[in-house]
Amino acid sequence: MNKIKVEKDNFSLELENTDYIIEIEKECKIKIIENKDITSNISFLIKNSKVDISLEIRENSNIVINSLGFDSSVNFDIFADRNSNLKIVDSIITKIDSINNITINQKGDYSSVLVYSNGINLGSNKLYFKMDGIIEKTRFGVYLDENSKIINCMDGDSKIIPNLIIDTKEVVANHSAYLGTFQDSDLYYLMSRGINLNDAKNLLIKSYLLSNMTLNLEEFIKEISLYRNGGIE
Amino acid sequence: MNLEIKNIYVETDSKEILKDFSLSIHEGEIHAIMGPNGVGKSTLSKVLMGYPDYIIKSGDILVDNNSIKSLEINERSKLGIFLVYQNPISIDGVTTSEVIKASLDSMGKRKGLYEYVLELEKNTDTLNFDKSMLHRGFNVGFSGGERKKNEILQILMLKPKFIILDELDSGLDVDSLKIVCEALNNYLEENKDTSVLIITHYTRILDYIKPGFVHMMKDGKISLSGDFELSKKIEKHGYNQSFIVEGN
Repeated sequence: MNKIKVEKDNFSLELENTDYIIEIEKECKIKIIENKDITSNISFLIKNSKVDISLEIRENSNIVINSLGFDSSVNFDIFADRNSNLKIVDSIITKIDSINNITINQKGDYSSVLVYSNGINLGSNKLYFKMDGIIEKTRFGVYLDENSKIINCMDGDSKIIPNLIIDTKEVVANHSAYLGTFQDSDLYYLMSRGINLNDAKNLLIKSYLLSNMTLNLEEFIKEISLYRNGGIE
Repeated sequence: MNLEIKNIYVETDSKEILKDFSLSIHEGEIHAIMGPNGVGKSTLSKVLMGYPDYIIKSGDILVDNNSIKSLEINERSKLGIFLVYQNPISIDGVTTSEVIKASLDSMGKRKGLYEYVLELEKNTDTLNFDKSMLHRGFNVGFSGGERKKNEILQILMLKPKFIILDELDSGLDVDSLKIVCEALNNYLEENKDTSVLIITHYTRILDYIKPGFVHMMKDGKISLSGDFELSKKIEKHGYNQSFIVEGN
C-alpha cells in the first residue's frame, strides 16, 4: 500500500499494480494515468478541499476507487477504455456547501462502471451530486450503474442530478437515487439496544459513508469518528 | 423485573390498537401472548419498548412500581428491557461486534477488549454462530435464522432483565430454533430473576420455552388467560373455538 500526501496544486500519478491511499487537504488537480492491464485500489481521503480528479482507465484494467470527503467538493472526470472495469464509491459528509460532479465517458466496448455516491448533509447547506454517464455511438457491450443517496440531517438543500447520455442500444445502464432522512426503524433498533440517539446516528453515518466500499480502511473509520467528535485531525 | 401494564389505550395513525389492555408479569415469570394476525400483539412489543409512533392515550406501564411511560427507547433498554425483533434490521458498514460494543458502552457495561472478545466468542460458540459474522456488516447477508441468532447473542452479551420475544420462531428452521431456545433457557436458568414475554401465533416455540402463563388476545386486549394447557387448547381448537370452549 502506497500512502501519498498531495502537497502540490497539480499532481500526477502513474498507476502500478498496487494500492494507494491519497490524502488531500488543499485545493488541487490530480491526474491519474496508467498503461493497461492494471489492477489497483485507490483510496482518497479529502478534507476541507476542492479537488478535481481525472483518471484514464486503459484496456483490461480493474480499478476500484474509495473516496471519503469531509467538507469538500470533489469532481471526478473518468475515461474508461475497452474491457476495463471501474467501481467508484464517492462518500461525502459536509456541513458546508459541497458540489460534486462525476463524469464518466465509456469510450471502449465492454467497459463496466459501477458508481455509488453517498452523501450526509449535516446542516442547511448545499450538497449536490451531479452525475453524467456518456456512452457514444458504436459502443458495444457497455455496462453503467449509478447509485446515489443523500441523507439530510437538517434542512439542507440536497440534490441528485443524474444524466445518462447514451447514443447506442447495446448497453445496460441504470440509475437509482434516494434523498431523505435516516430510517426511523434503524434508529429505533439501535436505541432499543441502549444506544442514545446521537450515537445511533453516528453509527448510521458511518454505515452510509462506508457502505459499498471494498476496503474497510482504519484511516476512514478513525476520521469519521474524529469529525463527528468535533473536528478533523 | 416486575412489569405492570395498567389499562392502556394505544393509538397509532389515529387508529386504536390496544384497548384497556392490562397484564402483570412478575420477576422470573414466563408469559405467552397468542392471537391471530392484527389483534395488536406486535404493537404491544413496540409500546413496551417505547416506540414514539405508538401513543398511550391513557393507562400506565410500571417497572418495579415506577412509570416508564415518559422514558425513551434507549432508557427503557438501560432498565433491562430487550426486544427480540421479528425482522431485525441490517446495517452495512457497521459490524455486529461494533453494535454490541456500542450497546455495552452506552449501558455503562463497558468491558476490557480482551474480556469482551473472549465473552463474545464463547457466546457465538454457544449459538453455533459463525465467528466471521461478528466482523461483517450487521445482519448483512445473514439468513433469517442467523439474524435471530444475532438477536440472542445480544441477549447473552447485554444480560437484560425483561425479554420480549416477538415471533422468535419465524425464519428459524427446527435445528436453529432448538439451539436458540436452549441458549435462552440456559440464560434464564442462570438469571432466574429475568422475565419473558413470548409473542407468537404458533405453539411450536412454547414446547421449547415453557410459559407458566398463557394469554389469548382479541380486539386489542386479553380475552382469556390460563396456564400452559391453554396453548394446547388453542392449538387444537383454533383461536375462536378455544375461546368458546374455555368460556363454557
